[in-house]
Amino acid sequence: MLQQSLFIIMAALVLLTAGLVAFRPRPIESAMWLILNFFFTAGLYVLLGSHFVAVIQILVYAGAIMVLFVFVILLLNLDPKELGDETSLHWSSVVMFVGMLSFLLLILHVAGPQTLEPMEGLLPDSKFGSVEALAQKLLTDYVWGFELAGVILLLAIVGVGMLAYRKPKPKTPKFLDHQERPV
Amino acid sequence: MVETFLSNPDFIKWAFFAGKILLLFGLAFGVVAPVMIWVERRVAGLIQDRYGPNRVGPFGLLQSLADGIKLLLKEDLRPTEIRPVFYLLAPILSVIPAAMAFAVIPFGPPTTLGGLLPTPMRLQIAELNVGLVYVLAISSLSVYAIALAGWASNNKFSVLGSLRASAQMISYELAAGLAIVSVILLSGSVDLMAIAQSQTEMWNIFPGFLAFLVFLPAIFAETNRTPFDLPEAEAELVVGYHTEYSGIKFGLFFLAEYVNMATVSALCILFFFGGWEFLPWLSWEKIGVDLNTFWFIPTIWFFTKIAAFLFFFVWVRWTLPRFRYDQLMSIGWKTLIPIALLNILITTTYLVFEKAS
Amino acid sequence: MSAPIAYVLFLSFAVFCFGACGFLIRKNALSLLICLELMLSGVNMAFVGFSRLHQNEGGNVLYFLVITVAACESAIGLALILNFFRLKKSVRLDEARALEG
Repeated sequence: MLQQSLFIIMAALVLLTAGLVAFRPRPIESAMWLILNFFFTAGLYVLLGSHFVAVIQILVYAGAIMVLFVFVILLLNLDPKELGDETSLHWSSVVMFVGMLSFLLLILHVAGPQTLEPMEGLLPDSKFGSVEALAQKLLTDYVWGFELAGVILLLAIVGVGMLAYRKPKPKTPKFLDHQERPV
Repeated sequence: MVETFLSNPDFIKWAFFAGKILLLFGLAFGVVAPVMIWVERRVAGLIQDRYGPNRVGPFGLLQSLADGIKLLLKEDLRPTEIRPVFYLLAPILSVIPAAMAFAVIPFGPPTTLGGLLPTPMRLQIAELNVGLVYVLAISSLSVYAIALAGWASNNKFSVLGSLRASAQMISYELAAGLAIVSVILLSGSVDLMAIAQSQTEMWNIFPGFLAFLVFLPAIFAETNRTPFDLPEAEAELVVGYHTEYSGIKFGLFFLAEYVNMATVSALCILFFFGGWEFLPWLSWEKIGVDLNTFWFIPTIWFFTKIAAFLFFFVWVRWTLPRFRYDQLMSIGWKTLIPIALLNILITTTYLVFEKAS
Repeated sequence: MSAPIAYVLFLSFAVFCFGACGFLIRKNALSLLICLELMLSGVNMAFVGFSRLHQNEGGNVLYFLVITVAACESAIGLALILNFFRLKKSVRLDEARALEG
């Protein structure tokens, strides 16, 4: 029971922060709320029993990806003019959003009442969510996917390097402002 | 009535739990940080052949206390053109990851406190079986504090400092992470307690010396200490990201820096120097120390090691000059990361042959 | 006792929808990428939920693959944004219409 109420609280926090991410006007605010959202999501994963995944969520999302975002936002240091006018959310999209959600719930009710029953508890000696269990699966059954992920990462590194590369300018002698430049 | 309550195992467990939280956090924020600030200034004096603080209390020991009171009571100056929310958020964000990372460090083997506890318990605030990955994750969050501090205070020096810090910390995190991979391979676990306990036979420093060589500069860069203190290089950037901070907000940055130092020192000792083991190849059991009665000896030894490592931090700070920024980046990307990758290769080969023999 | 799978799916879908809404109403490229991350995170939630439901690590493995793609996508996306900013001195996506017919 305690776990379920914890789950509901965590889910509410995830939803709240997700909303703030989507609808706060400035990117830096979105980014900060997204970091918080990732933390609550990690908490959710802990409640679901996937401890290692929860830590990876913080390590990769909050610790690496969002750092990159914040870094770029700070680097560009945009003023509101350069960001463009944000349109506020139109009422029709809110209706659509709520409608879609309720439709999903309806389908879940109709299609499978068993989906609304609590999931089976883990056995006390269950290895679910541990590093060992995950690594076992990752390096045996899904080893090709794992290798593919490595290749994708390598491609991304090369791609970003290409994108960011600029030819170094030929060196010109530098002069201080008060010095006369040779004519 | 009271006696039965006090000897209730549940009560003892909870009391132990609350006690260790209070003790360890109190130790980190109340003792390690102030004493380290004093040590740093005294050692600076020693190395530069001057006195250092010696007025407040014996040998100036109360200097940090006096500084703390001064910082608390100081007027909270606030520049006009700042971004207020983020300006306030940054110092808080610097302390939170420091405390969170400190929470998973084990300070000794599981103990019954000399028979006081019904079952052995860990001297660790949060018992986490993925402690190592957690520490990596949390320590990568301290970038936000520095990045936001520089950006929110709307000062060119601060922004430069924070940009430098972000790039530097992202780069050196990679090197540190890759170095730790070989520690995981050698110990066969990501639980910090298990890593320490796997070193009773041999410390990781011997098979993992290359990893240590990579990890050491990486943690100096992660904690923004000389020779990698580019983010606050006072000769170029005033003091970098906390130029515009004063009073207790500055105090929080300062506190977080020293707690982070203590954390990474403890990690380095857990990873490479056998945790609380006595000497390489010589565990406490071997020299005949009864850990059931003298449960505090490994913990004290661990603290001694941490103190030695912290002294090393200070020693390096007042000995080595600061790197240039391009040098810093090329060391990180062109030297440390290739060495770390090579080291993973060497370690795996070593492990395969060790298993075979 | 754990929560029903329907709750996890609902949450996953809701987070995905928030991300999609944000993606549709935003104009600057940085916010777009942030909302994309939110969508991916929403999908991940469903993977982890199913993994827990069947007590099979397959879902967690998929989570790893998705997070890899998310990392690559954000790195490349941000590099593109930086190049775009150098070109146009802004990150508004409606300025990117050099190929407009």
